[in-house]
Amino acid sequence: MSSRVGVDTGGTFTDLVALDESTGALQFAKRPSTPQDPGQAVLDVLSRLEVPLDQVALLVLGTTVGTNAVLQRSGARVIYLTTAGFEDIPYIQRIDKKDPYDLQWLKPQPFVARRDCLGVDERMTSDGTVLRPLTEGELERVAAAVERRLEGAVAGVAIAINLLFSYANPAHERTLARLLRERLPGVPVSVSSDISPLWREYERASTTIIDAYLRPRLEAMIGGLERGLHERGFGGAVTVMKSNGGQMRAEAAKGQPAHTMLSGLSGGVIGGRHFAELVGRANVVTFDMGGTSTDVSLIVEGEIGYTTEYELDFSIPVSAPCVDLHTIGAGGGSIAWIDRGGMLRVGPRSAGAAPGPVCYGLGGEEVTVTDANLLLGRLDPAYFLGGHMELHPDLAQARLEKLATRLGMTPQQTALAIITLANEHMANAIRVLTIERGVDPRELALVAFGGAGPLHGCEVAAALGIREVIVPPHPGLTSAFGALAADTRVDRRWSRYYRSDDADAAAIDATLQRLTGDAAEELVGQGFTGTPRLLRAIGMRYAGQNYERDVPVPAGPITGDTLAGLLDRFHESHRRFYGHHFPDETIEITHFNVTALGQGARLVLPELEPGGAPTPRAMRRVCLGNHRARIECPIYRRADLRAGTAIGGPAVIEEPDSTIFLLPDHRLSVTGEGICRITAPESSAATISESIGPGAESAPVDAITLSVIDHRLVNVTREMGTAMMRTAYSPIFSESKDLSCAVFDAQGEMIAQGEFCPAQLGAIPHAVRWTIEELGRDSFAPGDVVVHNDPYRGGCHMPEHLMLKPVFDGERLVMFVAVIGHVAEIGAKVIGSFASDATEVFQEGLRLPPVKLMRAGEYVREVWQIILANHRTPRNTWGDFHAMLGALNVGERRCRELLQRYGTGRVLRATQQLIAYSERLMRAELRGIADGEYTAQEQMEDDGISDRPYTIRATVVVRDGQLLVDYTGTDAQAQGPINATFGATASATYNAVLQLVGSHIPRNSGCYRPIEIIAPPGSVVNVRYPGPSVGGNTEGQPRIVGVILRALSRAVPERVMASEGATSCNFLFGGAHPRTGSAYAHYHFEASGWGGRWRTDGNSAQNHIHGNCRNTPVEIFETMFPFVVLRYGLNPDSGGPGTRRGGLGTRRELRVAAPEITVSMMMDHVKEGAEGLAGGAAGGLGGIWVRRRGEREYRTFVDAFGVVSPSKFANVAVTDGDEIRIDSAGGGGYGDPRERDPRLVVRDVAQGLVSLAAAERRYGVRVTVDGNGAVELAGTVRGGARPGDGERGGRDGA
Amino acid sequence: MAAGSWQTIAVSWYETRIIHCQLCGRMIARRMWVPEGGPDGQRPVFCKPACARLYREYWLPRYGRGATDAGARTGAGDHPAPP
Repeated sequence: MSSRVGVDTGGTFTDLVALDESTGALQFAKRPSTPQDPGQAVLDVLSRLEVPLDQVALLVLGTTVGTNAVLQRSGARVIYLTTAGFEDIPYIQRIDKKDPYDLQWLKPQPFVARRDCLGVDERMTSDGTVLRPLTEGELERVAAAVERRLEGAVAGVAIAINLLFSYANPAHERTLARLLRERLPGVPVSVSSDISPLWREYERASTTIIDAYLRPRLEAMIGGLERGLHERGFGGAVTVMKSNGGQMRAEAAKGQPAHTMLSGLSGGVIGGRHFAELVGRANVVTFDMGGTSTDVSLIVEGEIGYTTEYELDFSIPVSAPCVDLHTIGAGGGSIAWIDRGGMLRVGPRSAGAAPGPVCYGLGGEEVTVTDANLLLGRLDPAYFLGGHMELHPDLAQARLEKLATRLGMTPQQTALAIITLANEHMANAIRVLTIERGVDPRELALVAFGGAGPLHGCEVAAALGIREVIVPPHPGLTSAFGALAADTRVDRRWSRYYRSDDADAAAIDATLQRLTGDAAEELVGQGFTGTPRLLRAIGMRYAGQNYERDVPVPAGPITGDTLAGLLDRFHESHRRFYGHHFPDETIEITHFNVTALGQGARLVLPELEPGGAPTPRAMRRVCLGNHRARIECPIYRRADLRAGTAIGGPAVIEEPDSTIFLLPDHRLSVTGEGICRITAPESSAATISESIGPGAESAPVDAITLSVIDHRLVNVTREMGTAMMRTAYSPIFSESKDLSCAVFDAQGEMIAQGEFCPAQLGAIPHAVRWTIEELGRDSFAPGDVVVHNDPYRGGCHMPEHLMLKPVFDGERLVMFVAVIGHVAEIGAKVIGSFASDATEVFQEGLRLPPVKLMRAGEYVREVWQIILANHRTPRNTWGDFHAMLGALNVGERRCRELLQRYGTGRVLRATQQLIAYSERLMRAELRGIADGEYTAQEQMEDDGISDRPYTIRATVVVRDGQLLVDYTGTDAQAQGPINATFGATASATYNAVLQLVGSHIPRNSGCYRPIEIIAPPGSVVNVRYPGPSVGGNTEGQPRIVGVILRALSRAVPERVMASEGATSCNFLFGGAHPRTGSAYAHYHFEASGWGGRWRTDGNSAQNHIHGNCRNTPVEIFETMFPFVVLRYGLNPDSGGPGTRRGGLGTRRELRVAAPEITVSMMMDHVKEGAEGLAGGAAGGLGGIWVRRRGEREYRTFVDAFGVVSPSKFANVAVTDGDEIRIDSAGGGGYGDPRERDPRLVVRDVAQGLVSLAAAERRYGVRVTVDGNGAVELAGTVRGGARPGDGERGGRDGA
Repeated sequence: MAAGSWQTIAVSWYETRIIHCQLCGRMIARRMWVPEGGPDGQRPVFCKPACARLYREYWLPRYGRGATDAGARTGAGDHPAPP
């Protein structure tokens, strides 16, 4: 046997590359894919092999079977077993949302039914100690419960096991898995500590569930293929590409589907690297552009980037090692469209393969990138897919003309604009991949492949300043080639905690040796027989941070000296990436990575005959770009190129599976292996402003450049947020993302913001403008940073700290970068700085008017000393403030790069145009709301000081694209801290409007301009000095959003939702940690239920729409704080009844694990639930209770401690063994519950979201449950909840 | 734009008082818009000219002395039910 074969099954085609190892000859083949039976296409393409199958020693398969099963939701039924009390983790997720302004967003559904999530009575602690043993009796009970659940139907079923802290001690998981494998032979069991032994229980749960979900499908596919191969005489080995770019035996792959999710994509990265190596380039970005998406990946010094943070969909992570790919929805089929503001957009919607682009003639009606390429002359209508598919330029032309007319442009300009925008999207993807990792794209080469990669490669490279483009032979088959070239690879990762001040080098050495031995052993098991290459790394972070950086470990034993060297490397790495480091700080070692690599096939491409420049096959008129006229362009066939061939651009080089578009002044040369190397002239990397020509300094910025600059600025803020999150010391930043980043012009107008927290983003312009006005623009110098948290100067509330840094172009102040974040401890009368009983601002913490924190890059020590002396956890403040400073440094650097690239004048003009555009778009959207006046009111229950409600009243006046929100009539300022600042009220107002008019409007100052606010000073919506306001941001602000939605519900009922749970359940605690003796403090909050919407139920366990924060994982919470979390789940029946049910709130129970913890609470909706809408009933109540040690029942804190309010109290000392229960409120229902489809009620009962009693009493639906738990509709008695009868969500009989 | 002028609030660095816009309630750091004249001889201050205009055209007729325009409310009656 002498051949090796690589096969890649893509969405459209299945590709093959075969290597005859005796001669070095390569064969290529391509067949249509068969998505319903992917193995069939593999057998089809193998039938094209020129050698008999019995001569094939190895078949390497890259497959999209996992991706497809996920997309089609066609995987297995999963039984999910987890620590009792945490069965809902897959449903709660991380509580944030993809777009902070998308009110219609649907939370992704996990790949397991809620009723199939079963609890196991056992428990480990954060250090792996057994807190509650897994008994024989419990094992028997669980096994019996699973058997009952399955009722003997085991086909297409898989089990996922994920117990808390299994990464620290997997013993319980292994015992349980062993038993289930014995009891249920044939049912695959996925175990989290095997698949993803990492902390953060949700990420591990998602990964394990996906693994189980795909197992039967992958087993069937591989099994079927193996049988088919056997029948055809194949006697070699079959391996499967892993997400990490390595390959493993098919038999092993069946058992690790989570590790094959990117199987079909990783081959492209391997192939890209292979061709880069052949031309001697070690630093490249691979650019794989297909019909619907583009995948880019970074290779530095020959090493592929890896990550464990891949998401299948937003909030559906797969934490398994994979190549660090970035995928965007831009490809040949991406559709061009015009938004309401009149701006051209491209993608992410795609015409797909059917109907496909207009020019396919298959019924497509929307112009795509491929249509634009065709009409610019860059594609040959008679030679698409080598002439196997005819294109119809006349159809595309007709559609393009219509689009161009709407834009007021010529068709050619429009086509060019489409290509430019698509290129910019892809260039941005590369920026995200490279710049976030500190790599300058201009130092890279671009390896362009996939069907459309070579067509766009030169222009994408030019947009990034990349000067070399590498196009492999047969670029459409690079992924199959990569599969053939892939190494055998085994990754081992283990979470284990050490501190640098007491790290045991010998123990670390032993751990690494064990992992290395395991990995090498598995490599042998995979069939590798040579000497493996071993890579080792240790994950490190500063004590207090939650994200690690991997530090490579050199070969040899770990000694004290080796360890010291590794710690030094971490300090240096941190300084290089984030701009600061702490040489005296303790470093935590969190995990160990080992990779064992077995060298893949050595592929030698056949040498081309040498030759000169070929004769063009034709000349064609091609539009080159920059609005130039079409010129005659030579058209070559790639098959005519010879080694040493050199061609100058412009030119088009065609081959059956791809087309190279060579820009003017670029030169293409062909290597002996047939690889095309394209070199750009020096000038192509110059600034864009230089290439525009005369008049550029005063002319309006064109629409395309405008869009590009907009994207770049938004990306700057995203990168700032990432830097801040990854280096922060407090989980409120690092896990909860209670932070926002933005860019401003020199006048304080906001010009860009990312997908952060709306509660902060609307206030930040007011705080920034105040700061600039009070200090004076002239007071800023390079390197200065101002800090500010004054609630009376535009701030949200005291914990939100704004930091502002100027960006200079030479000596001219041109921009500001700003971050705002909730600092967890700032002094005050209460640990955690959330004084529910405060009556003055002086009780709420250290108030900072705008003051310099840094002056010309140097610490203003006096200010730092005052701040650190007044915070209870100064070490955390030090770390968190530096995380903010690091984010500002990143933002400043990126803004300066932008100014340099486009020219300062051009960028500044662009920002003004963007603001005007955003204002125009907002007015256009507001005109979609009928003119009129709309009023509503909401009540907060009390202010924590006196037992009386406070009313927020709003009149919303809509007039011809202008909106006035008048809060006149709102109650006077409360004595307690529920008052909102003006900044908080402004944030809520802008947020509510943006939720209604669509999330596509660029979020800069322009979109706020059509919105006027009247917020009477001295009222609950505009606190006057020295009134308290800490709760106005978390409790008042969501109610202000709610009152606007309610007011406008009559104008746009299809866009609003009923009231959401709208209480953050702010739970503050702190003290001296019993493990370390150090002071700690934490600000904890909960998600609640969203209100029902016009067409959909409210999301359960979702952060309020005024925020976009995440929860803190139980495993991180317990590691950091002395509590044991007993339960964290959805609260059944808490969703407000309605035609569209309100989302469910959550229930959390905690046990104190310290001699004493001081706790405080600020919440609402404990007396009145979130209101329903249009006949919908209110959501279930929230609340907090305590069960003192030894007591049987939970009591309110009023009963147990004599505080005044059951929901707002401060500084209560709970002690060891006390248990605390926190319920968050459910969302209100939308529409009469008696109109709810009974089938949906049955579904809710089956999923345990609504009880049997509530189904009948609230919805008038009788449901029966048989002995096996099967749920059926028994009839309706439509006498459910009516508005006004006092009915609401809540526990029946609880 | 209604007649008026931008004026700077003269405030010493050690002062802590906060001035609010008469209409929107926003805090004014240094620059305030002061319209010419004013109702009953008062000199209300605003954060921007648009607030002065809204004050005159919206707020005074509705809430000022002798106000008659309570505003016509839209959307009274039944709320549409979801499909």
